[in-house]
Amino acid sequence: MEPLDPYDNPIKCIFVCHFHHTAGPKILCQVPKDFMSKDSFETVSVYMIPKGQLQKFIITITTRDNKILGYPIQINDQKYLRNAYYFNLCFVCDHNSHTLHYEPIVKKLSSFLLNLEIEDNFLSKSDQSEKTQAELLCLMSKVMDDLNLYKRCTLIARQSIIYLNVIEVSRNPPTPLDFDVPLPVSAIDLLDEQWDLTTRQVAPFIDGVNHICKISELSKLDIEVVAACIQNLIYCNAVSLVDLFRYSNMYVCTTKIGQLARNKSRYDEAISAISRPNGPKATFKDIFTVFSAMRQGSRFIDVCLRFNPVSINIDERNLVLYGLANGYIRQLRKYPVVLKEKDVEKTYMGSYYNGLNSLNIISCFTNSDVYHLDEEIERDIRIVSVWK
Amino acid sequence: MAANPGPAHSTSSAPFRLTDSETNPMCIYLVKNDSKGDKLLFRYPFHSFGGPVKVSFNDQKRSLHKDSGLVKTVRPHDLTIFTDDVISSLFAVKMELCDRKFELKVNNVRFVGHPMQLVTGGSDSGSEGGNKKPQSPSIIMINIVFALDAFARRQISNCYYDLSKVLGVALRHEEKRCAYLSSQIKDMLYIHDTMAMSTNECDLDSSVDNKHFISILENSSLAQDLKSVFEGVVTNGLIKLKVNDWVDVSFCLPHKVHHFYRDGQYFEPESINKCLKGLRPYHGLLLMADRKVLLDSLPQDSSPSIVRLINMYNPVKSLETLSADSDLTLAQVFNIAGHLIYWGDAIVIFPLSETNMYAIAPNVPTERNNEYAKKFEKKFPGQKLLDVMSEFSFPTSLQYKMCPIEDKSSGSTTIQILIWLLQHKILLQYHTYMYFMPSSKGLGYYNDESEFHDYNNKHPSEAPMTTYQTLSENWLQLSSGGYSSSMSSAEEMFHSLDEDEQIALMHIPASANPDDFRLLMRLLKQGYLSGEHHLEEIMYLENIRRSELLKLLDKFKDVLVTVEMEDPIISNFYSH
Repeated sequence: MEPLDPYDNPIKCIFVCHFHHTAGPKILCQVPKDFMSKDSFETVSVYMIPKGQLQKFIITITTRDNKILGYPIQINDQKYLRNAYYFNLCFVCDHNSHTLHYEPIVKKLSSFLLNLEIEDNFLSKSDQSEKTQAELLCLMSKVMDDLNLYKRCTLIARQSIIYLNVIEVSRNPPTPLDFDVPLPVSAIDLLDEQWDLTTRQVAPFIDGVNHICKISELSKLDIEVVAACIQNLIYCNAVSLVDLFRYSNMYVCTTKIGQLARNKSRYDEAISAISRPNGPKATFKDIFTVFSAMRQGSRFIDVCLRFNPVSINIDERNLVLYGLANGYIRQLRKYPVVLKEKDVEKTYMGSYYNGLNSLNIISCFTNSDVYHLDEEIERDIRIVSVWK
Repeated sequence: MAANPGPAHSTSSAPFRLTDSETNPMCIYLVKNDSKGDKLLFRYPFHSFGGPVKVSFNDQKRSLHKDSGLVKTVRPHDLTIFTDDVISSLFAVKMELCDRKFELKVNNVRFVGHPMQLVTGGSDSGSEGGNKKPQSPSIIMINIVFALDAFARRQISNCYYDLSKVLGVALRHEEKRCAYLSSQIKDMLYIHDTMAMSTNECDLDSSVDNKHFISILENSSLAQDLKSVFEGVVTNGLIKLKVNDWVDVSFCLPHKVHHFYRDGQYFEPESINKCLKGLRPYHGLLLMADRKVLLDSLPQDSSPSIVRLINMYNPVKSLETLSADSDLTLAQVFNIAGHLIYWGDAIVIFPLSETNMYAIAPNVPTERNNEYAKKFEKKFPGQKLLDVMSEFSFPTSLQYKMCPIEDKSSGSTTIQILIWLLQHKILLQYHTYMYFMPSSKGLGYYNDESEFHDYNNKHPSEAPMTTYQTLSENWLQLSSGGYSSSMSSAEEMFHSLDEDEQIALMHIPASANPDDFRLLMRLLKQGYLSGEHHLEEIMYLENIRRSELLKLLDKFKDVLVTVEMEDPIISNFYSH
């Protein structure tokens, strides 16, 4: 089983080791003191001070209790006894934690130490000098304490400053398309100062209604910039992408819908998110009944016609957005396909109907009316459609 | 296609794609370390690292993260930076790291294995091995290591760790039995040495064209086994191997045998447990392949119960029926079902029946002439997959699909098509769930979810039957007292509702009918009206006919909200 939050794992120890010209691999300094015993270091020293080819590689080795990551560095210089100096700065974490997010930090800190070493033998002489040893120890303990406490650290040493920041690492989210609509899914304040200028400029227009093109228009920013910004927000789990809200869309309940009904503590939130503004509140039963009417086969327009959301104080757009954001409902899309290859040329806009593009996307890209398009598709017997 | 400005995939909410690079290893290594030092004995593939190429799917010009060094893609040739010397020094671990999980990550490659120390030679083992004379016992460390994409999820890398361990244990056994490993190592080392000598003569580096590995592969059965392991995990995730023609090694990568249409999703071993916990006697099994194919693929020493069950199998049978027909206890049937599911030979379905509602599952491929469409047309000539799928685009039942006028043969084709679609997870079944909502406040009678008793968590998977027995028995006890006592318990139920709820119920004419009223109260009391039990489950548990239930639903439609959705247990097998 994974630990509860694998990213919330403190650094247990930071140590710097090097290759001593007579004693071999050895720990130069570590915080806290005596964390790594001589024996446990020797078990893994081959990964800390590795063979030549693996210099400047991020290496992580897992032992019984610990996960050790380092970035071995070799300096070739005549001034050293073996014409080269090897050192490595290592972070130690719990053995079942993720350490990916510490990798850039280890890399940066190592380069920092590399510079200090090249400038005035900071590391190689600290074997002898008490003063530099103490200085190194002080730097390391500051890094460890600050990173564990604040997830960031500003280090000042010998007239240089470096900034360290722990960032969660995950893969790139997909690149948003022009007509994707970003929907806020978390309570992150995007106007906060810690966000970049673009995000703060774009944030007011992210409402689950405007698509990327529109946001770019409203915020007077280049569309590429907006798309990149939105992609970044997806990466931060601040927004997710949904289709343009249209009454012709079809939504169905997911298996999560039961949680909404059974979890009464969520009722108030749902009611206030879904009720029409400046009016009486909608009742939970009405909200749930409208959700339950979202079934395969009935478009949202049919649902609205059946219930007349205004009369029961429901804002239908917020209903859909709330349902999507919480995963209570999902959208079904219509995928028209021209069944036979030879009919593609003969069919109006046939090349779009390859089964990869949904009706919504086609209507966006061809700037055509979705109802009109749908009628044409339904009339043409060469085209079949699959809702999925 | 220049004429297609539309994107291939619309807004897929997948955070990233699960390409084969995540599930497939890039390479398999065998390293030994003994008194004579460490050595990379064999690796596969050795030519052009045949591992998967990870392709970046993002439109790079828009990606903010493109310059991030962390997401740099691993290309297969990246492994070439690891020369054989480096590999052997890295994998020849110290004693302290033996007999536990070995995990080393270098940049974007993660190596996992289970280094093992074992005693070679010595005692009487040599005599069985053939004509080799017994040697004095010595300790040797071997490590079978898989190279994976560092981004592969932990569950995936754990599977490879288990595989390495299983192989190691098999080798240890064979070493003890007949010194198989030491003779294999000897042969491999001999080839390494002679190749090194011959290349010295003509001044060529043999490691460039990997002649020594080719020669080892030709001559060593262990090397051939490692090759077949690699190819097994890359092709279908199944390994059926006989090490030294003696020890059976069967292994399966659950994330590989169950496929999903959505990238980035894979079947976690954990969801098998989840699924087994939710398995009920009314569920059924669907074999993913023909019965005969499956029977032929079973190992020789497989349990006769499995064979019996498969022989009695039919997708219209529930597990309970299967248990009766094959004369096995329900617990045994559950176990076998779990086994078949784990190996990707079966999935759980609700037994086929005319009233089942089916619709298209999410994320299924709809591209013209996609691979499934071709497969389908081969199996059912004259039929087009997309055409069939479009008919299922709105929830459809077999009852509706099968035209009563048509002859029987077309009906059986319809069923064959349906089974094919279910096997390929193109269709999904929808069930109806009921919620008791008498007043505007929402769900009535039942407490909040936190206090709500949750069958899935409370009852261990070992005894899924007991839940059912106790549930029904409770009611039996209540109803055994005859009319008056069941009426009084219904009234008791009614009085436990709050005032609004009582008033709402009183407004319904059907409440005046004692039979209807009692049935509603009984279902309410049993916990069936909180959306956790579909109609079929209630029918099964309470022995009620569908028509009765539908009538009740209609009479009390003002206080009952119905939702259509898939069975959460079965939806584990589908992409979302």
